[in-house]
Amino acid sequence: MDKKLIISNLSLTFEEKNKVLSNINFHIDDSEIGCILGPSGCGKTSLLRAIAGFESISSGTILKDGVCITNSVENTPVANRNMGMVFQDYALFPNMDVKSNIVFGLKNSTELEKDNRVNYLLDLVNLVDCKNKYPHELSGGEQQRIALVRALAPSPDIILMDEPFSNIDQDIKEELVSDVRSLLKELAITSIIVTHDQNEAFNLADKVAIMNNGTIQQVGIPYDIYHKPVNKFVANFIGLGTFLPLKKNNKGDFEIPLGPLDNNRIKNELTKFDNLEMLIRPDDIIHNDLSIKKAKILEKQFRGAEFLYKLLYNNEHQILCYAPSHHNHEIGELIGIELDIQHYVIFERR
Amino acid sequence: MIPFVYLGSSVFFSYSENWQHIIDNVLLDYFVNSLSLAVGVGFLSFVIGTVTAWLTSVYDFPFRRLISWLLLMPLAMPAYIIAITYVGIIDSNSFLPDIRNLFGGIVMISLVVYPYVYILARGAFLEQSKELYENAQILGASQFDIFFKISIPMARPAITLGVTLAAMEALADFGTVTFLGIPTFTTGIFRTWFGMNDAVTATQMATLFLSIVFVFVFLEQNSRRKISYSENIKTQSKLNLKKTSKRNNFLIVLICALPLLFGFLIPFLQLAYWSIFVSNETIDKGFFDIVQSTFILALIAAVIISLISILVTYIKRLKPKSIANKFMQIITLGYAIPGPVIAIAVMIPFSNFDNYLNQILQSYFDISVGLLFSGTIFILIFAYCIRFLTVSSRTIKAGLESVSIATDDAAKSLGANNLSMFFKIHFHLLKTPLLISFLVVFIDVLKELPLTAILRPFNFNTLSIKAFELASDERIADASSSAIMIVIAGIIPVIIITKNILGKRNKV
Repeated sequence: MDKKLIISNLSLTFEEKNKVLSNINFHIDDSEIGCILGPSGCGKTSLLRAIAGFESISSGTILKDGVCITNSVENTPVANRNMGMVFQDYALFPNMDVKSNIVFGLKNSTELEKDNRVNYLLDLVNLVDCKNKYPHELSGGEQQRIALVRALAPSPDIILMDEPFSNIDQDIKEELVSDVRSLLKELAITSIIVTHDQNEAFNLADKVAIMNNGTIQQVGIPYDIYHKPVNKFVANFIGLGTFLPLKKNNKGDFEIPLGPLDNNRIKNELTKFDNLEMLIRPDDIIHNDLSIKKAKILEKQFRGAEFLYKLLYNNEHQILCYAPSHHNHEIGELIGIELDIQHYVIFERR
Repeated sequence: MIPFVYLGSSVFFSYSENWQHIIDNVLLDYFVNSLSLAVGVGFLSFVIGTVTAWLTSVYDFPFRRLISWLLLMPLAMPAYIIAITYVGIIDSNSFLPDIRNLFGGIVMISLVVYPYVYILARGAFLEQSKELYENAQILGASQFDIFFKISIPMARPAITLGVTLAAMEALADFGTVTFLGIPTFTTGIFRTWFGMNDAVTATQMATLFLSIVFVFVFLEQNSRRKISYSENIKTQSKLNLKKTSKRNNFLIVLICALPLLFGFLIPFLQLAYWSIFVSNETIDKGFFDIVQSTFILALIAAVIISLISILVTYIKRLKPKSIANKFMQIITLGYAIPGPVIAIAVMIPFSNFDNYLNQILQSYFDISVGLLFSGTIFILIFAYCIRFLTVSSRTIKAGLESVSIATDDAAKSLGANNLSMFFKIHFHLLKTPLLISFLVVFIDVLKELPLTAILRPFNFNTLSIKAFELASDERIADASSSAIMIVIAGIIPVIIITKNILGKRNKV
């Protein structure tokens, strides 16, 4: 696949001192949906704004279709980058109806072409009825879709979205997220979406870039990000989990307090062999009343179909475990657990 | 800019012997009176403004909505007109106390400027969240506790701004203090300039006075910078109005009716009575000529000033760090500067320039153009710009700020340039602030006295000058026709603005 957008060694500094982004390297393929995921204040919105051209970068380059659109000296104006953008609060023009909002970016088109384009786009998002409504007459979800359609109207090369679902109620969010994904895929448009919500990122993206403190921590497909985090920040930020010490026993085999591990797999993955710890996800622990290994329940959260138990093993190691919700145990009770680790994620202890 | 440089440079001019006289005899009076006036008006407006604002935003009582916007009516009443009216009333009823003293001046000005505090405080009270009040109640606070410990401190930025505006108005007042015979800085500058014919000394006094004013402005702006907690609360639900007993209802209506009665109704009705039954001044073509020229002047000034405000605030939005900004900050201090000071600062440089230009033209081309700027309406409009740009630009700035920056980014990402963005989006969203800015400047020019009196072209008269001249000749009843025209014209914008601001904010 062609690389649609390549960001190399990008840094962004605000007001002399304040380094917001440093040494960002990231690319996105044609028709791919990329997500930039990170906690608030990590610089993800600044990165998106730099791509759009709202911020001038201090070093590095951004190439679009192989052509440099920005470096520390040159800066293609926002209007000439042919990128569409969807803003967090949608930024629909309040003085214009839906149709006028959508045609705002359409230059050099006849009225008929504009009409057709509006109808086609509104049809895509099932909002043809809203054509003559004003933004304040629309629900949050409708405004969001109109904002997306408005950005799509001039047929941009890339669409950028800044926290597009943050103002959407939870109950319609998942549906909207998957609608947006199918729409973007249907139009085969390259997209970059900034979000702090990992479920959103996992549902939307082909590729996820995790950011923290102005740097990219890991880029990968959602499955790998969860199961093969490259550092402790990613492991902590994505999903739940705890860390258990990893040691060699006196036979030279690797084990964690819960039991022995596959020696060969560990040896293949590691270069150093002491002072290690292992990420244990809740799905690595299976609750089994018959098991001889017992752990004490410290806390429990009812999640409908299942309980999330926080357990204490051997009076010193905390672990998490999902159990079907008919296994309703009391806090303080000892329950049986088994180890079932598919992915070995090992970090050096600090 | 030139006027301010001129004022500043006056410090280095030689000091005439008039200075010695001023320092020995009147300077302390000027200073004490100006300061007492500002402090007194600030305090009295604070009391009237916050109490009425609190009552109308927390309690439910009969005629609440009517009273809450009628309370703004005194805005339409220029201070010197209310003073003229009360002097007229008192002169014909000898048992009433005389108001031709400092205390009278404070009351007169407060009666018409308290709405600044009222409108800002009320806005702040209405925006305070219901949760906050309920929380305080659960924790056992009484109504008084809530008022003094929560509402007032939370509304402090708004109230401070309102009180500062009121105090500034008092400092800058010329008409009222002249009429009531209170010697202040503004009248002193005027007297030195025209009475002693000493423009240089007058300028130096103006500079001294201005430095004092700027200290105030600086303090106010600083206090606003530090306090910004009132805007942090997002979860707002409208306050439920409290119902109280019949007796309390009566008291509340009475308290709210007092400023309304004395600040508007009594003087208004008295003026109406005089102008219809007593006035010897005939309403003829001459009168309507004055009405016409006043309105045209106000119209031109309002349009020009609003346009400049748009330009400046828009530049600020597009380029927040440009030099135009700093320049603007200085220019918009104009609101704090009294009319005579601006008049001096504008008049002298321009007439010097005119004379200089004339000399050059005469010696080289042998033609005389006369006073090109200083004797024409140009200089008057220019002075209005300095005086009123603050009000206008603040209104438009607030309007522009309510349009989120993301809107601009969205427009740019869709290929709009600054100009098309303005005409397609901002202009439509700014219609209301523009209207308000236009009306405020319009009515301010209508009411304006000292600038117009000093800088007007020869034989050019406005309603305010006419009213003031007649009143100064002890023909108060005759002045009423002009005065009531100003008041009636002033009511219209007040109504429109109230409908716009309070209507949107408060549909309870």
